[in-house]
Amino acid sequence: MITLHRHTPRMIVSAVIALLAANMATSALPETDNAALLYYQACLLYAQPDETMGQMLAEYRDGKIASTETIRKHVEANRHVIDFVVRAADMAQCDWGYDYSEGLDITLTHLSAIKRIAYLVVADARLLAEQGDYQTATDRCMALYRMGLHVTDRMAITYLVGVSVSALANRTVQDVLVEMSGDAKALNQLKIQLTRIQEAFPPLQYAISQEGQVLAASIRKEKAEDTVNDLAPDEKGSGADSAGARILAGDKAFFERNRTYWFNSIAALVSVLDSKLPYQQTHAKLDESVNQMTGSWRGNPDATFTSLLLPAVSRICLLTTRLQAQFNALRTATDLYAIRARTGQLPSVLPADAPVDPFSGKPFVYEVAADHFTLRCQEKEEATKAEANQYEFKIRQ
Amino acid sequence: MRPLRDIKRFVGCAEVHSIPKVNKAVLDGLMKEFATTRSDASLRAGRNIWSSVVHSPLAQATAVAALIVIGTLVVVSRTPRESTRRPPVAETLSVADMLTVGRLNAACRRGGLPEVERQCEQAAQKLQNRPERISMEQLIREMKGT
Repeated sequence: MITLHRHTPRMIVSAVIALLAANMATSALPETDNAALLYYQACLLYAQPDETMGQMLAEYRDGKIASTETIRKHVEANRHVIDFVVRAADMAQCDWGYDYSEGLDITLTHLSAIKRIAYLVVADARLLAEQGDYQTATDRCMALYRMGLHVTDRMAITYLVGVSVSALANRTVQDVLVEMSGDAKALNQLKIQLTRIQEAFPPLQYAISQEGQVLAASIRKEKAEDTVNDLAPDEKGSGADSAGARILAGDKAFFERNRTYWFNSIAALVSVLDSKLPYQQTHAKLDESVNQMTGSWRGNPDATFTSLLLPAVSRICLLTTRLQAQFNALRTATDLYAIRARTGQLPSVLPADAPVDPFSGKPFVYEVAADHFTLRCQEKEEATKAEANQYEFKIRQ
Repeated sequence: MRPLRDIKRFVGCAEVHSIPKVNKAVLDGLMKEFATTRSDASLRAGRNIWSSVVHSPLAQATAVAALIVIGTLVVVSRTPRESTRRPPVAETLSVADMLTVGRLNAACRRGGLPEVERQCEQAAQKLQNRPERISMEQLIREMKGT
């Protein structure tokens, strides 16, 4: 009884604190779970850097110049923007609020700001890596990857920007890797993260089929004038004028047949991408299909919309494959650095389970020099290119 | 006289942009040609009806006028008119129009991702030309009508 009395005040205080905490938890202001709202705030807060600053950030990003006090000040002055991006990137849900029924008229107001914000985050990651904080630097890169995933959404153009942001993150990781090259545990962790991100990136066929659904909203009589206004000014020559006139004069059946042709074309392109042919064959087949679909519009009124709306699929396929090649090279490089961290030297050949170069379907060509090693694709991405893509990784002695 | 009248009416109605330098060059060339033709023709004078036509001042004037019109029309047809020249996208469209899926897709077809980025940057630059920011205090005062 004495013990109980002695402890009573303490118990009461504890109970009050617990109640208060519970009350605070239940009455806390709701937080958004939509990442897009935070990205939009970041876009509003980040003023476009002037030309000199923009140039300086670009050169720093490309590794052409070392960090400067101006760059550090710029990044610090925009710390709140980076915080918004980091918080947003951690969220699972991202709804940009597009009205998909608008089709071609959907306005993508944030795309340019997203790219500039990505450059700011890259600058922060590089500064952190310079200071030796490679853990936070790679965290920033992961935030960039997730932002890229959020941006991809359901249209070819947003998908392309997502690819571009992820490629930017890849290039940054490539440069940060050397800073963590002695930490086998961190390298293994990074490899797992890279694999997860790569697997989470939606395949091109998904983007194309979604684009098919979204743009179909513009193949309607009610949208005819908007569609012509959107597409005719950008299409030069009399061809587009004729297509425009045809759309404006089209009856209900014309739009129905065009929708059918459009969906069939999208299905045919998705089927080419699903066939998992080697890259060069896929690219050639896409080119052939697109030329066939868009080239026949003069003689075939049903192909009018498809000729105007079809995205540059083979070009997007090239950029997507280039992104996959980057990912595969980075994953291979993390393995090689980890082996070096454990054994003190780089292996003479690539590990047996190393991912391949997607352009050739064969392993990367691996070459070691005194201060770096190189992973080179076995095939060029385009016949017109002087040489195949290669990825250089520095070695710290 | 009818051909002359027709030419006069044609020239009067035609919407032509005359370039004095080109006109002079065409005229000089023609006069040179005529000088040569006349000296050749004088050798064969009286041989055929054509030479008499050539000698006729009226026919010469008609031919010169016709050639000037043809020359001018050729020059005009090759010169892009101000009204048909397409101004850059950024000059004619609003920011919202520049950033629609339709316009960005068209940019992508023209020049891939770099062209999309260029168009986005142009839109962003337009946004920078916004009116001066209004302070919260000023906004509240204006809303109260004071």
